[in-house]
Amino acid sequence: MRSNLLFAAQSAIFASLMASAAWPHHSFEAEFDANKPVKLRGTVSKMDWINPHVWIHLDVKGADGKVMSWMIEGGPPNALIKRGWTKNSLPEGTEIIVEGYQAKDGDTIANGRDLTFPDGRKLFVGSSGAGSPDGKGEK
Amino acid sequence: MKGSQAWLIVDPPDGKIPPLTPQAKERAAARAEAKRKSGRGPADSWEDRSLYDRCITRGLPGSMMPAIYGNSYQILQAPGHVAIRYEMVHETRIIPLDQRPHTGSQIRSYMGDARGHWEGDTLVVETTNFRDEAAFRGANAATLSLTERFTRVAPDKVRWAVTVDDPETWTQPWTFAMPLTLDDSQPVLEYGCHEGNLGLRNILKAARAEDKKAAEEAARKQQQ
Repeated sequence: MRSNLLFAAQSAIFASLMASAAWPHHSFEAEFDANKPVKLRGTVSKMDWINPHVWIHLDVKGADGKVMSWMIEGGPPNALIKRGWTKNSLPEGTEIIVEGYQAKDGDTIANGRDLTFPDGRKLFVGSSGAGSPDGKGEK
Repeated sequence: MKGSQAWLIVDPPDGKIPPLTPQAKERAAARAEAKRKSGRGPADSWEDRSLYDRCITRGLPGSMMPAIYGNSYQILQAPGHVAIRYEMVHETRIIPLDQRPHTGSQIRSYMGDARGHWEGDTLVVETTNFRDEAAFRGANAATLSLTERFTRVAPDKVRWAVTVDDPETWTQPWTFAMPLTLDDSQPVLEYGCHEGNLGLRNILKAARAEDKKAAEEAARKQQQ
């Protein structure tokens, strides 16, 4: 009698037996600058639910009144869903405060760490944590 | 986390990967020398990044190994075939069970050429015909063979053991094992890898910014 292997599996333990040398796919230090922390207050213009990371598009009004468009890298969709996110968690127009680290080249791109609503509620953003200063991200 | 354990080397009994053969050491040294001679940095171009960075493959057994995220996969049985579909990076292995021979040695692929058969309740999958760029731990792609054993040991658990054999690389075959754990809460999501691969763009952009900074620094020093 042959076993039934029909199976959906997920192994969440961090291990290092990889074919390639590293996982710089989204290693923090290759893209973001630990010396450029940013705190952005703005409204969500779009949310991309894509692998390997979700991206929050944020319109941020500067001191001069000019609106800058920022892109905030979040965690992988599966990790956020496990943390209670749904596709309706951040509808367009939602006001949020995001803390994170800016791209090394100074572009308006950031690795998201903490996300807070104006009423104080928080959402886990869970971006690429490998090598980040506080190591809070999904590893 | 579902009470899983990380991979463990179960053979040899000392739990250590056997020593490299002299040929393997020579190959590694030659690769390092070629890299040094090329004068290329880690992110001069996308071609300097790994196959994984570039959304090409995590290879084998890389695709089965837990990494930072995106580790969902699905094992499907059909008459004559088993298929394993991986969330990261959007690959599917098709494993024929009909005892057909491996393809010719000139035909190589990142995930190799897999053949499966049953030994009692264990599915045994032997994979060969790897490509050099994706050969596990710097093995010789032409002589590397991976033999996986999938045994369902509980309703929610498959024991997965992999024997790594390449006489050109290790002084003896070695085996590691890991439980694969059922997790209905995490479906395999689509992995539009290139579409979502902003990471690669950001890595290259960051490297250019650092080049510029280094050049400015050098110019400043020269002026002094």
